[in-house]
Amino acid sequence: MASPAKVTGGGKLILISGDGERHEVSRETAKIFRALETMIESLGDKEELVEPIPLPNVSGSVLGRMIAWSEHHVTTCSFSAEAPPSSPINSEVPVQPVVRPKVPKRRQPQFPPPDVVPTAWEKDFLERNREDLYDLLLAANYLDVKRLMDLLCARVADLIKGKDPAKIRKTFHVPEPS
Amino acid sequence: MGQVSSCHSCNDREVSSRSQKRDSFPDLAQLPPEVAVEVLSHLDATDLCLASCVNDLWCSLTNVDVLWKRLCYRRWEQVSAYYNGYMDAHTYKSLYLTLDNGMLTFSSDPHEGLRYLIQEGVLNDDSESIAAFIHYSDIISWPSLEKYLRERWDVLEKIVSLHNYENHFLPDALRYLFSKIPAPKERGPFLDRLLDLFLIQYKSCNVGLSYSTDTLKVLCYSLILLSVDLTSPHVKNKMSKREFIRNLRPTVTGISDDTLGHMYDNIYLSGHVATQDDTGSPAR
Repeated sequence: MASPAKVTGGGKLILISGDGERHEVSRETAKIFRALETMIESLGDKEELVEPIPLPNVSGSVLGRMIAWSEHHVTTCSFSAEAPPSSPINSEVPVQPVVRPKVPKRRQPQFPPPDVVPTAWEKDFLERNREDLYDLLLAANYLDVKRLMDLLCARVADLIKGKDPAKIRKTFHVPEPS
Repeated sequence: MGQVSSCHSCNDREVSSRSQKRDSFPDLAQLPPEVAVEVLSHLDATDLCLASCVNDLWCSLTNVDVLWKRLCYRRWEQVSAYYNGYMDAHTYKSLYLTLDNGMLTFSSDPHEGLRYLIQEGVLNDDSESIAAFIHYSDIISWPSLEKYLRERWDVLEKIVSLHNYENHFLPDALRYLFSKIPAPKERGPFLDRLLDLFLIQYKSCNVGLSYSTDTLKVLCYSLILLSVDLTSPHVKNKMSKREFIRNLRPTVTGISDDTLGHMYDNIYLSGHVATQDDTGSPAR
């Protein structure tokens, strides 16, 4: 992440969508697009970037929504790990002060299930864009926005869950195999 | 990747049919494969198998072995097959199906289920491997597990030795024990043996603890009885904290009234040390 000085001094960037729309974003916002991160880091402290960044694979309207997503997450940081609330009743009261013995700690699971519980804002975002999941998914993949990827993938997976092959074909417009 | 903009323009043309588009999506095979696999990684085994029947492309997408590897590790964290060379000749999909099969048999006949896994080479035939397999399994048939452990005390011992009771208050430690190992319905040699093993592990996890094993064992039995007393609808007159302490006073030494009071409160507030639903399996 950038040092605080950069956050305040971060200049604007111009992103150009595939259909030629220009979108002005702050550097911090653009950094949510991990694909641009290295490029932005390499700009260093230069105030303004003259050259606009072309994003030929993303259409203007999708880019606008991607920017709305990152602007929200830049201000809230809502996808930083939220600790599960611990109930005070279950908190451990040791019988008496004990010397901690060396007990092997339980390893972290190798494949933890992705945390795909959307926040209220994210839920609303997905709901508003439910007809364009496909475009957003490709854009999220292209711009490397992990959290949005996870949520979108979970959303699409929900369309598959509990369906037999015939229903899946219908949902995904797959022709019957001959 | 040019699809993004082109697909979007076709969206605009079809504004009228939007409501009907709501729960539909373009063919997964049109997505870049890594994205499609990412989508499929949110499915469980049953849904993956159903999706594989859609067509050949979907079949090859759902057979990507990393999907099955994830499913295996999520459900069975410790299987001998992961390191005993079994994977050299098998895919994770076949491993998953074998394990699933074995666990299905396990729920009707635990010995037969594990024998099958051992024969297949998925599980090593020693109590340590079996114990780790059971301990780190996500879902396991509870009545079968009890039946199995009653006959395999060596495995029981190894399972308990995997528990970490460091800094656990005794009632919480018991609760953890009974969330991992089925609590017997009646007092008997199984419960007695189980508590012995539990206390050995409890003391080795809490070396600074000065209470004798006998004292702890009396406490364990008292806490189980207290759990029944406080939670059973058949008991009309519940034991009070004062009674609990007074009853234990002559038998336990070196434990303050406060600590005993804490134990009473713990059971009172958190409930039975062995919470079980109607099917006999605890909320794990």
